[in-house]
Amino acid sequence: METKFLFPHRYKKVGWVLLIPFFILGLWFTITGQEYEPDFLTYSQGKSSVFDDPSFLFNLTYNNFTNEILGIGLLLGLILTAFSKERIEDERVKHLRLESLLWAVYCNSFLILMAFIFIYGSLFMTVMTYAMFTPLIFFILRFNWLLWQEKRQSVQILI
Amino acid sequence: MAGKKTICTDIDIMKNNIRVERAIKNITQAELADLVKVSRQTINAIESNKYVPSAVLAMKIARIFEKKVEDIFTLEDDD
Repeated sequence: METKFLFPHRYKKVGWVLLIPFFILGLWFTITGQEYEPDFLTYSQGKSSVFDDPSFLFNLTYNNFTNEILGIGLLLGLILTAFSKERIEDERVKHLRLESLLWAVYCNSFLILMAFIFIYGSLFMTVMTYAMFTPLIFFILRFNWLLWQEKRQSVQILI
Repeated sequence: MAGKKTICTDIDIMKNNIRVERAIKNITQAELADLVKVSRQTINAIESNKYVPSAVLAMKIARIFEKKVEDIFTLEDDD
């Protein structure tokens, strides 16, 4: 696996700094169901709207950008955290990274399969918006768990 | 065992005696890792037979111990 498409190691901290607050915020929005939309993030979409039909679903004159900022911040944080190089990039780390990616895609595909079978209606769309982020989340969890496990084992067999 | 086919991965048939060689040369895992420019976890994983190194890494390790690659890494036929 080539490492020229990975971010340098120092971006990992940036990734975590971005990821943790947005992730907590997103979780909070999900669990409480309330969406805190500060007023300064509300912008008008413009008066000359093409969709003049009053029964059109999106006939709104304003749009709040909280969701967009949350999604962008979460995605950028996940990308930076997941795909930054380790401090020492050797072949074992590349191998583990490839395995973790495969594992993450398998897990995510399984979840989507379950969603197709068991979830319907507008809840399905909600689940699909979460499914945008779960591959990277699974990858981060699996990759770091593998590295931590190896480190723990190598500490135990310290010669 | 006629008709029974077991899956034999590289990890099953690759053996090494890096630990012995390290003891002979009296260097730690960390020192060996620094010499071949990998992390200590990699050396540990290779010694514990959890990871099969690439050909380049195997040759680098053999060069450190001033031995041939076949003397350190052996391939066992598991048929």
